[in-house]
Amino acid sequence: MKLLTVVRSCVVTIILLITAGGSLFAAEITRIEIIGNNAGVNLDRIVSRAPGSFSERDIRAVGTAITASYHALGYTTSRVDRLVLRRDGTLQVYILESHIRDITVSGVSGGKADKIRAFLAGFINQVYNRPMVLERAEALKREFNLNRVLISPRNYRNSPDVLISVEVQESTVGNVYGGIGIEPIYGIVPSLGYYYPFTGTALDLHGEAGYREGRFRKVKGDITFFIFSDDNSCALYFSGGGSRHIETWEYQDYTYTVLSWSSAIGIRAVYRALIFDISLREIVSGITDYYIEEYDDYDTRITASIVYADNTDLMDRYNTTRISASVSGGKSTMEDSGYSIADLDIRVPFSPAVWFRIIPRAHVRYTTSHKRFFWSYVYDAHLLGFFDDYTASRFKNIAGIDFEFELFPELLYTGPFINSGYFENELQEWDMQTGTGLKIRLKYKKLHIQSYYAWDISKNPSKGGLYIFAESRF
Amino acid sequence: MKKCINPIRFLLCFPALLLLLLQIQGHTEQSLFSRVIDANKGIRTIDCDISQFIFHNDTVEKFSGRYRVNEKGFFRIDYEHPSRQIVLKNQNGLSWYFPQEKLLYIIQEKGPHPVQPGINPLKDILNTPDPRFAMHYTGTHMYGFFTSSHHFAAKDPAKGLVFTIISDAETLTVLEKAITDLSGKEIIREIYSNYRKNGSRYFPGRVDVLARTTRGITRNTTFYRNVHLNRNHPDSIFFIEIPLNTTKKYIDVQ
Repeated sequence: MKLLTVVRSCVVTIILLITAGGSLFAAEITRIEIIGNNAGVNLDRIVSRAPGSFSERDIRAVGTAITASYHALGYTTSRVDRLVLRRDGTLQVYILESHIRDITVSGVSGGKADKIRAFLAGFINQVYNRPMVLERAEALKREFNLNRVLISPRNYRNSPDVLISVEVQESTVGNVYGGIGIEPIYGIVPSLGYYYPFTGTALDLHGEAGYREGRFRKVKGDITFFIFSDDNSCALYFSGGGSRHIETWEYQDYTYTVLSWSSAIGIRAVYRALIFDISLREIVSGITDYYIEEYDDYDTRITASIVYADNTDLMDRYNTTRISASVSGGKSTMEDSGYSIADLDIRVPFSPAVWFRIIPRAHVRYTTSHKRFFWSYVYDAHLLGFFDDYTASRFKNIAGIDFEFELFPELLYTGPFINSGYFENELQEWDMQTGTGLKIRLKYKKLHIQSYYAWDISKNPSKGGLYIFAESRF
Repeated sequence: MKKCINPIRFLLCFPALLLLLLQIQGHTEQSLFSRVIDANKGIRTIDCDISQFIFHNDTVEKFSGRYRVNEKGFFRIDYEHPSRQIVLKNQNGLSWYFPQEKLLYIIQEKGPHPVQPGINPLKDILNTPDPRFAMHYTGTHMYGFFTSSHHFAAKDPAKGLVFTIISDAETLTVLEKAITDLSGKEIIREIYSNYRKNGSRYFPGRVDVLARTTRGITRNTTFYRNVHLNRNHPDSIFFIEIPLNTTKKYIDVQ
């Protein structure tokens, strides 16, 4: 260790130039004075070490601890610049806080680069804090429809301050998403969507079909246009679409066809993990072979829903809890005295071990309508293990539990599952059925496949069947 | 004769008893966390095989090899997969050597804390009198179905961060460490699992680290096998002779 004595403004200071492997040194330090802590990092515990006898190593530890405190809180470019031990026993710790002095944007055209720079301008002259910059980068990605944002701090003109270099990659074609499933009601069900965000607005196109036993049992498509509020927390949307369904009435043993056109206006708001939605929808349906040969139905429906999903909080998205509830009320030609429908979906996964996940789930649907037209199938994707049974229900309660064991981290999981339904059947008698089976979940690149082999628990497993649900986003 | 409790005496005694209990509780909290720290100390050296999987943006990279670390913080990783590579940290710094390519990256660390794999989850707490780690006991809960665990937390309202540590109530080994913001958004989560007893020490067979980075969420899963603790390594293993015709490249790490 080298000791230099410097006389400066009548104050004698000893500047400790600490080098590794120095000789032993001890000093009585009366207090520790922090100079330059403008970021507000709490250093009280370190300061409270004084008074006391400090070796060279102890003094060095003070500097290291303060720098570590800064780094741990994300101020990764700030550090202790020097330690000065004054004759009166005060240890002065000079902190060099590293400020953001400029931002450069690359990867986009000039106009958009300026907008991105403006979006980040709040950081200029702030002390560089990595988590805060990263959080803003996520917002940047959403706001400007970017595929990738890479933010790197660099030295600003050879000073301790930083220049933030922002490299972005634009998503020029929007997002295409889609999937394909095999399920017992509609057969092979491919779906495809396209989401394109403009500045302040977005367009979502979505279509899906269901093909089974040589014909399309379901074809539907819709378009939704969103107008976002300035902070993106709220959206007004307009949607319209058409669909053609062939539905089976199990008890009556016949099928009827529904051709519908709908239009809606709604408001959607997001608050933390909650999504609120309220919409007014007008549905015009032409129904064929339902009691009478041709039947036209005009339905006006208001729906309110709330969804809780903590997927933005958790890093492991498969542990996301999702609870959604909705209530609809309306009046139609078929139900001219009015009707209401309530839905509840719950999925609450938890991991007792890093290689093991348990996923309890529940689904409830109830309608006041006694018309089959308003009922929903019992043996759909919520209650697995039953095939070629189109029983519909006015009131159904389904609960299940899936177990997932990790075969390979992030890639392959498998385990048993069981699900039970307690429901009013088409004769409006209460019935209970239970299915069980084995589940395999595969995640490969952007493809996510869930496959179930399931059967009615009261029957032989060989009577079971396969469900496949695959989805991807590009 | 039936004894009656004097209500005035009860009213006087009850706050005193409550005060006493609170003091005991405060003392217990501190000593409990000290015990957790003590339980995670004492590993001087590690010699083991590692397999690392790094998941990021729908891609996975696998690395495997032998990992050795000593109490000075020197370490050496001899990777065999995906290719032969040697990562060395010694008093001269951090370097990454590719023998087949005759390429040596010398990593110049500007920060005081070099990039350093370690296995003591509480290393930062042991080395740094960091005010963040004034951990408060928040309760004992079940971790999974069969493990009772102590939970500790520290809040930094100024920076909007919450630090949590979950330790096994019996062995006091660390099961999880996490940093979240005040709304509960995870920033870093470390999961230590598959603990096995190695001599008198427990050592995890697996460590998962999930972190939010500029490029999205990354997950690093490391499996530790053939673990030998506190075996004496000669310092010479943390130094290697590099052939003269090796190309040297320098990388700055902040």
